[in-house]
This record gives sequence, C-alpha cells and structure tokens, in this order.
Amino acid sequence: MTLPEIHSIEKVSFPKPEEVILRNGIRLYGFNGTKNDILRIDLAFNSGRWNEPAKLVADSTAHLFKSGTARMTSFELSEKIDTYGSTIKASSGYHTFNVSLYCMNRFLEPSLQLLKTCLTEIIFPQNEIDLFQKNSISKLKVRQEKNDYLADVAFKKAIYGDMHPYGYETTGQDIKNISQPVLQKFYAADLKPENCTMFIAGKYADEEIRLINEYLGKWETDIQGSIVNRNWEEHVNEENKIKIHKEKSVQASIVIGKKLFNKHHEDYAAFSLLNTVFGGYFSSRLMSNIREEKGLTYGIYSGLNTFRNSGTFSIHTDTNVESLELCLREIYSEIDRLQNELIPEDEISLAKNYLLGKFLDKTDGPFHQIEVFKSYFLERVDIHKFEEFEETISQTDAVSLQRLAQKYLLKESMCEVVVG
Amino acid sequence: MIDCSKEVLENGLTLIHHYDETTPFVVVNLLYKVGSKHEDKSKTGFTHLFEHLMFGGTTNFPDFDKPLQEAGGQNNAFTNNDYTNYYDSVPANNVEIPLCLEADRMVSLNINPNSLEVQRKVVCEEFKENYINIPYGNVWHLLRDMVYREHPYKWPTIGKELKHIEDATLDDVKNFYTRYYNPNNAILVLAGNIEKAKASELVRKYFTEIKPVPVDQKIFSEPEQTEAREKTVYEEIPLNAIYIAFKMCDRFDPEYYTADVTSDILSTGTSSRLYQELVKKEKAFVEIDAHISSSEDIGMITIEGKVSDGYDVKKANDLIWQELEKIKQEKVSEVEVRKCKNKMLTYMNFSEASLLNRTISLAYYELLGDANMINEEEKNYEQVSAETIQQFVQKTFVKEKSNTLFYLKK
Repeated sequence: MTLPEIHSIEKVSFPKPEEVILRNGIRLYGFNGTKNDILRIDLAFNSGRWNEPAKLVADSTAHLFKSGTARMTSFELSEKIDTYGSTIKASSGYHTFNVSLYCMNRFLEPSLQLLKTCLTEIIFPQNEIDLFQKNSISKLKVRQEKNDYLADVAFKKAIYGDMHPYGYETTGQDIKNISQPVLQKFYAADLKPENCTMFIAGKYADEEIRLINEYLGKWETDIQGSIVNRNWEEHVNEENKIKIHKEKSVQASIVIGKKLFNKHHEDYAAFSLLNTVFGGYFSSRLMSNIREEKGLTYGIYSGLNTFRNSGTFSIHTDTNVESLELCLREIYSEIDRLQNELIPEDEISLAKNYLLGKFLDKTDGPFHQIEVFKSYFLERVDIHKFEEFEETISQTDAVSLQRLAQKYLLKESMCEVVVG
Repeated sequence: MIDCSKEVLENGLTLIHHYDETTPFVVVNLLYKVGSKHEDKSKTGFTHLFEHLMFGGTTNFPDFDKPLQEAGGQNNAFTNNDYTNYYDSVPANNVEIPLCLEADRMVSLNINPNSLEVQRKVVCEEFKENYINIPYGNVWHLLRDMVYREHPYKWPTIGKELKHIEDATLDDVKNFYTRYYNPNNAILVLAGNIEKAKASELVRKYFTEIKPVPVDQKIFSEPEQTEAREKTVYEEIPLNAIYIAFKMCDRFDPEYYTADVTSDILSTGTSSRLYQELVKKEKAFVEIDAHISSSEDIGMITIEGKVSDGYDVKKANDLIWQELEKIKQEKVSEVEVRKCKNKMLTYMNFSEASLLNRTISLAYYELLGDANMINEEEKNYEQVSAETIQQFVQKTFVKEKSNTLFYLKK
C-alpha cells in the first residue's frame, strides 16, 4: 500500500475586516458570514493589569462586572441576560480589559441594552465584594494544591518579578485588599468609549450595525483624563533553579524557560518554526523522545507566549517523581541537539506544513478570524505581518534554525522550576 | 439545519456525508462503537489504552501523525464510556491522506510489545496527572462505583486502577482489535469542502475491501436502587465537598432533555437556584454545580459543591435537600424554563459554527440511531415544560435513590 500524493498547502492571505466607526468614534472591526444567526461582539479597552492602581483591581472589576446597579441587583441583571440565552462576560488581560457578548441575532437589541448597563451602571455593592473575596480566597487555596499552577506562578515571578503585571502572584491578601472605591474609580476611568475598540463576528447586516450604533454609539462619558502609559520595572530573579517541595506528590511539574521576545521581533516567525520542531506539536522532538519513546509523561510541550511589551519561551510537563532527573536530562539534551546538529530537511518540512495548515485554519470562518485579528491588533502588530510570518516560515532553513537555537536556547539563560 | 446523507457500504461501514463549501478543510471522523462499558471488570481502562495504541503505526506506514501533518492536518481522538472517536482535519485537497491512513489502521495496526510498553507508561502518567496528583482527582472513581452496582459505568474511562493498565497484555490488544475495530462496527463521517459523489467514491476506494466481522451486541442492565447510599472519605484537600448523584433515564428517552434543562435551572449561571440560595444567600458553598452524564445507557444527574470554610457539612447537605424538595413541591416558573431553553439554543448555534463540532456530533447522533437527529434537538428541548420537569424531579430526587459522597478534609 502506498500513500496518496500529498498536495502542497495553499498560502493564505488574511481577509480584510470591515471597518465601521460608531457615532462616538469607537472603531468596529467586523468579520461576517456564519451560517447561523449568531453574534459575538467584543469590546477591548486599553487597560488591564498594566493600568491597575493595585494588584488584582482589573481582575476583580471583571469578576464583579455584573454585580448590580442602583436599580437592579446582580441576580436581576444576570437573570435578564440569561432570559435571552445571551452571555456577557468580562476578563482582564495584561493590557486589555475585555468585554464579550455572545447572542442570537433575534435577541441582539435587549442584549445590547444589558451590555450598556454593565458598561455604565455597575455600583459594586459591598455584599457582592465580600462574597467575591470569600469565595476567591477559597478557590485560590484549591488552585494552590495543583503542582502545575504553582510551577507556572513561580516561573512568571522569576522572569518578571513579583511587582510586575506579567509576573505577580495572586495572594489571599491581595484579594482582601480590594475595596469598593478603588474598583468604582478604575471602572469609570478605564471603561470609556475613547478607550475602546470593538470587534464583531457572526452574521450581521445594516440592522445589526444600526442597533450597535444605537446602544454603544451614543455612549458618552464625562470622566476626564486619558490612560497613562505606565512603566513597570522588571525585577528579575537571579536564582535560575527553583525547587518547591510538595508532600506526597506522585508527579512533579516542570517549567523551564526564559524571557524572550514578542511578534515585533525580527526572529519571531523563524523561532516559531524552531519551537514547533522542538516542542510545538505532537511530532515534536520533546514529545517523540520523552513521551513516545520513553513514556515519561502524558504530555510535554514548549511555546512562545507573546505580550504587547515582551514574550516568554517555556517548556511544560509533568512526570513521575522517580523519573524527574531523567526527564530533565532529556529536555536539555534535546536543546543540545538543536544547537549542535542541523535539523534534517524532512523534519523541517513536516513542521512547516503543519504550521501552514494552522495558518489556513486561522482564516477559516469569522470566529477564527476575529480571534487572530484581535490578538494582533491588541499586541499592536499589523495584520499584514500574518502573511509575512507565513512567508518567513516557508523560507527558513536548517542553518538559520541552528543559529537561532544557539542564540536563544542557551541553557545558562534558562530558569528551571520544579514542583513536586 | 445541517444537511447530511447516509450510505452503508457492503461491508457494513456507515458513511455520513455533510457538505460545507465555505471552508477550505475536510474532516474525517471515525467513530468505533466501543467504549469502556465493553470492558471486563478486571481489565478496565483498556479501551482508552487501545486508543493510544492506534497512533503507533501500521505494517504499511510506521507513523500515523506525520503524513497527516505533512498534509497540513491536525488530528486527535477521545474515548468515553460508550464509544471511541478519531478525527482528522486536513486542507480539502489532501482528503485522501486521512482516508488512506484510517482505512489502513483499521486492518494493519502494528501491534508490538514496545508500543504497548511505552503507551502503558504514558497512560499511567495520564492517570496520575488527572486522577491522583490533583485535589479531588478520584471523585468519579468513588461516585460511579456507588451509583452503579452492575452496569460497567461503574468505572471511569481511564480505568478503575493503575494496575489494570499495567497488566494489559499483547493478547488482550490483539483480541480487542479483532473484535471491535471493524467496518461494521464503525461510523465514518466525511464533512467539509467535498461533494457527495466524490466523498462516496473516495471512501469506497479505501474502505470497501475491508472485511466485516460479526459483532456480538452486549446488553447492560442496572437494578433499581431502593436504599440511600452514603460514603465518607478523608483526603488532603483545602475545602470539604459534597457530591449527590441520582440515576436518570438513558439518552434515548425524551426525558433526557427534561433532565438537561433541570440541571441548568439548578445551577447554570449566577441566576440559577443553587447559586442564588446556597452560594449567595446562605454562603454555605463556595461553588455549586448540577450536571447530567450524557451516556447512552442509564445516566446520572449529580449535584456537587465545595463547602465554605468552616461551614457545617451536614447543614450544607441539608440545604441541598431543601432546594431539591422545593423544586419537587413547587413547579418551576415559565421564565426559568424559557431562560434555560434559550441558553441551550444559543449554545447549540455557536457550537455548530465549527465544522469539527458538526462532524463529531453527526457521528454521535448516528451512533444513537440517526445522524439527522441533530436537527431535531431544538424541537426536543422545546418540548420540555414546567410539568415534565416536576414529574422528573419528583421521581428522581428521592432519598432512597440518592448516592452521597462526603469528601472531607483530613
């Protein structure tokens, strides 16, 4: 039996979003064309952790985003949203405060009305804050029993320091410090139209845009002051081996990595290819060696995490406690191999095709498109880079990959965290 | 509306085709009608272990993943109590690659000691990662064993214990493969940017030669529960937890939809009953949830909550029962029913936007009897009413039929 011929994968260009400017100046980017009558509308505010007056303020504001208004309790507000089968949720990223609405088109109008309420009328009642604090502290205790959570926290802290928005660890005390006036002030100052960009995906026509304009285009605030672009100092941990002992662990969680770069860096695309070969997909070297050959783990992967101002490269796995040393040795020996030997052509071609398939997938349908477009936009990367990255990846050869491994994967530069 | 058509090959393989011209991809989904319920009680976890072995290469092709990735594709698989499902997504011009690979591994799997040895270890690590080394990890092991006395839903898909996986032999693997991995025991869905005639032609090209093997259908049963079951365990955990499970109907019963809506009325979203009463007002729980298992045979509806620090566990348990009694005595309001139906509708509509979801769902509904049932679901949920809910809760939430697990701090 022979395998049929494998056809080359079409390189795609990223579709151009539709652009609408609402009456109050909010810019709306849209990807239209799902079969079903559904909509996802995102509002991204330039804010988030980067702009917090104190730790967890952005996150807590997101959690309490439906906590009640002067005329509606949190229950009444949630029940109304639920009645239409809609979802409104807020989350805080490092540089963005996100609000998303998911709904069926036929309930767009009442859903937008409720969204507007959430954006403008929340009063953060004290009893809601108390409940949030009590339950968050309890849930934190559960998370802190998980080795992979602890390893991840220790890694970020080591890279950026405990005061930095990218690095700080959530503590019970930080949760306790949250207070009503601070949340209210942050909410009013950061969540305003001039600070917002919108994204829409699903199926829409003029009527949907008219409704959006009706409810969000007329939104004005009189809160003065623009968002200050703050500077945060990174406090890098000098210790590059961190071991956290956890009684009775049958497995240890490992994170090994370093601060690297984001999508703005010239080596970003080529390094993504190197990462794919190393630990970025199922046929990667880490998976082949440590899972498929030695059976030391259920999963091992590496990845490049990019943020607006920085990026990290890291390797993650869990392995049984007895195999810990062997597992670490094998991870480092795979790094050596990338630095000392050229990667064979067929291995590079495999990783390239895998990535080209992923690029194609990222343009498949409005919901994938909005995700990609939004992440580029918020990291302040021009969407044209999408095609440039695709092109760079197809051009990168074994020699450049080896050079990248020698330059960026120096073992001495890595921070190793083990919890177990 | 999801259009699909069905064709059964001479060897018994069911083919479902679904056309979507808007995507550059095709998905090949192969569902085998074997799940952990088909296992022997002394060899549990085997179906899932076998799923891992299906990626170990064949006598024709040493690697399953690589040709697919070379073709720009992605693939994965999952196993549950009822079935095992494999899916491959590739750019449409490479559709023959997954078809060829799937047909090949249906007959020519390279069963060898090394592959078994390695995957045994991998699955043991998976077991530890998800069921031992995390707080509350073994809850479903304990709870299933209480709810089911005879039915093989007694054990979770990962297996009852590590030892069963460690003891798996090469003969077990061979027998299992011969018995269950056959065209007449499988459903193939080919969906995406490929027309019907082409789909049929290509599937025939690769699968038509594969010989069927008679399948013996197993019938499972579970005796009626007549006494309350209770168990208390002590573990190193940060918060006490309570789990209460009741048996419910199978997936074919129209009451299934009522059960699903009921679990949402109880706990989905912050406007739900259990959240409002027990988390918000009473502050007895930090979080609380109600959910159903969507298994083919006799299912279970479970209420689980993490008790607030310092709150009396017995009292917290009584509060859950108070809520259950309340929903039994007073009919739920029309608003509550409407709300949950709308949520369900939104969820289904969003889920259908993904070709992969649509494909996997079509295979699942065909397993239940007819892929077209996917288009009936909206109507099925519409038929749920305050009356059907009351009937359901009155016969289900009964002390004598409850299974309560107290999972407490050491």
